[in-house]
Amino acid sequence: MKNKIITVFLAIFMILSFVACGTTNNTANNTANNATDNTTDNTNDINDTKDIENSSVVNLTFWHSMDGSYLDIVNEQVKTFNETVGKEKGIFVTAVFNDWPGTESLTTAMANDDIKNMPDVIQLYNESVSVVRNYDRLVWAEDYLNDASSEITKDDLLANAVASFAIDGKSIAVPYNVSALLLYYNKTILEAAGYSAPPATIAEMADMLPELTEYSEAEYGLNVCIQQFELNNYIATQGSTGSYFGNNESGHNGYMTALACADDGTLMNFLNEWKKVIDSDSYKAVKDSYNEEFATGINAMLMTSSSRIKSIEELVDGKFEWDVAPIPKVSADDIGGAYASGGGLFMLDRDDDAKIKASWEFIQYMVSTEAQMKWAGGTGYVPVNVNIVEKDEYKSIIENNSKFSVAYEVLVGSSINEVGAFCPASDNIDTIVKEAMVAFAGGALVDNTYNAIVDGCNNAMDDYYRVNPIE
Amino acid sequence: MRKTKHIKTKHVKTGKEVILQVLYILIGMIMVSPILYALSVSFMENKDVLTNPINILPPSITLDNYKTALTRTPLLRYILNSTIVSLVSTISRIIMGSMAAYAFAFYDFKGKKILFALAMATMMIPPDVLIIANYGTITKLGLTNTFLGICSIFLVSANNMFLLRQNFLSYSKSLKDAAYIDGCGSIRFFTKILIPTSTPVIITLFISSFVSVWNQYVWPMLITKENEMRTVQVGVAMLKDRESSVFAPTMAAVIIALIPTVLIFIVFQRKIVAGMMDGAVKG
Repeated sequence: MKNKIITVFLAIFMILSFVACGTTNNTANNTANNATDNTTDNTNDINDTKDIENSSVVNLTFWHSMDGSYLDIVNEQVKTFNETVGKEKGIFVTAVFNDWPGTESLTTAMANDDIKNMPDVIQLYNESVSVVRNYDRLVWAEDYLNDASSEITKDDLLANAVASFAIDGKSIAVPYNVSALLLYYNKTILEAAGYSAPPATIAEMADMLPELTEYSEAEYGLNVCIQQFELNNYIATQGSTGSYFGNNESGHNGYMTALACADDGTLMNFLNEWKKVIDSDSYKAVKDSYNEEFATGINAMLMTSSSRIKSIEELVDGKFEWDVAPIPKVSADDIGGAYASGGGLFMLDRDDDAKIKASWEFIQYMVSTEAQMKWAGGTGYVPVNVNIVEKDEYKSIIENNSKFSVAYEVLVGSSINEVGAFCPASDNIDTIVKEAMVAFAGGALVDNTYNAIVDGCNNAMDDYYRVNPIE
Repeated sequence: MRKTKHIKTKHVKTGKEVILQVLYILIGMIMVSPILYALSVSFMENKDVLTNPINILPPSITLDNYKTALTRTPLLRYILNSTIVSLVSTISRIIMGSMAAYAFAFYDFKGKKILFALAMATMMIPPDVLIIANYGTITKLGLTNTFLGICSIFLVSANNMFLLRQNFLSYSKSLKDAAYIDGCGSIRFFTKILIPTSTPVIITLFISSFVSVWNQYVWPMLITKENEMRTVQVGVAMLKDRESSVFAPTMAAVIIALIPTVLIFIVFQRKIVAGMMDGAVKG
């Protein structure tokens, strides 16, 4: 018996050694019958069902970082493109998943200028723009959006979302899956505490919180962990036209090298107001399971991305009434709203003009009303194409569930100055803000928190530019 | 001839032994409880996972999570990929490690200490530091999206070599001398005496190497650009949801991904015990 097992394993090892020495197994996805690979670096698998006769098809690689149920939607969008526009124009797209934020594989390929293993189109978030903004192979979307023959122009897209992916007024990418920071509130609990509407300002919210826990079984009135995303929103939504988190318009007009909110008073304004929330003793400052804790009534209110609307709806499952609203303002005079956060589609030049043209065709489809409709009904992502509001299908979605329209209306009403910051060292800055705000909730003074955020973030940016000097 | 009468003495368990056994069972249950809970969660509906109070057992059993795990990602293909990578890497590690350990344990040659020190020094370099350099090397060799490319950095382990060397050092030199006198050459000594008597150590290293390579995530993610070449850990990552805590399908994928490693352990665990009972010629 022992010899048999050893023999079997040695045989498997020998077979696997031959397999391991083999070259790429290049089977494409379900629609492989229509595509052939016109790049020179891949070999066809013997069992591949590709149609080798059709050699004029342009193969594109699309890297994304959508997981879970969002992965299904992306795959559906790509499949529909391949079967419609792609088939008509001779383009075939293969979607490849890369874990969020999607930059690890890209940066290793960039470091080695490994264009063979780069994508043609990649989905990146605001936080990752610093990685690619100076990359020679990045193809800016500006010229394509302004081209007369283009089916999609800036006017077709949410102004706030376009601004979120613009540098010096020029579009570096096209917004794709966009969301807004919203306040989720348990209507049943609010009504039990005597409130018919969600709070409009932070001060109102702070007054409300103790009563929410008093008149319900909720442990906390509000749960939100203030990190760079939330803080950026609270800075951006101040003033009559919005404010900037970082200097140089948060990196949209030059490079962000320091915190602008430290100098213009917006950070201190926010911290002073947020102190009231902390002093309510009904605020949870850490992030455990946002969705589940709200859905089980542990927290009466929650602040998080609109993209979670669908997930929370499934979890709540009719147990109580709930809704979403714009985040409470710092001051009643502020513009409020939110900035368009989320991912955009970036094009890369792999020394193939045909692929660049095909990439633009693909991107135009992905921001079309048809593709964006899949975000509208299936998630809380905001459709970036403004023409969607005229579509009957979208009207029907909103009629059935008005929550899906709140984020769209928030972004439409927000100023184009309300943008996400192109932070260098975004991970470090996120950690610095999070730790400072958790310590603030734990009893740190306003001034100490202010200094921790300002000094920490400025030092992080200095360190970043020391290693990556601005050219 | 007088027959000796065997008197069977019944071993009466003392109270202390019973308590110890109960304690061992409890410790074992505590150690395996996360996996048992993962199994339970894999059969729950997502809304039943994080509740107040928490559900230990599923209020209602559903197989939807397993369907999601198997349909949303080509999980079985990923498991096959991981199995290939883990088996090839582990077997290579055992072969290379044991041969190197044999040389370091039984032979004296010029530069032996320096070579050994250099091999050990590789253990002190954090793997993340080498990722970009390794990526550059592998891509220049044209090995991206290949099993060999994925296995490349896992084929040899200085840790395995060190452990085997320490095991081989416990053998008396006179054992090799006796074998030599009897006409046993170096390779025959290695294959017929040394390896068979080191079975428990080798199998232990096999299991730990297999699990270690099975759990790799970053390198397989970086070196593969096609979904079909990904490994199981990447597949599990695809099921989680950044915008929510979708534990149930993720746990279903984890349970499916655990099966090969558990099978490996079951197949080889007897060998570890059996090998311990084997003796060798003592010098």
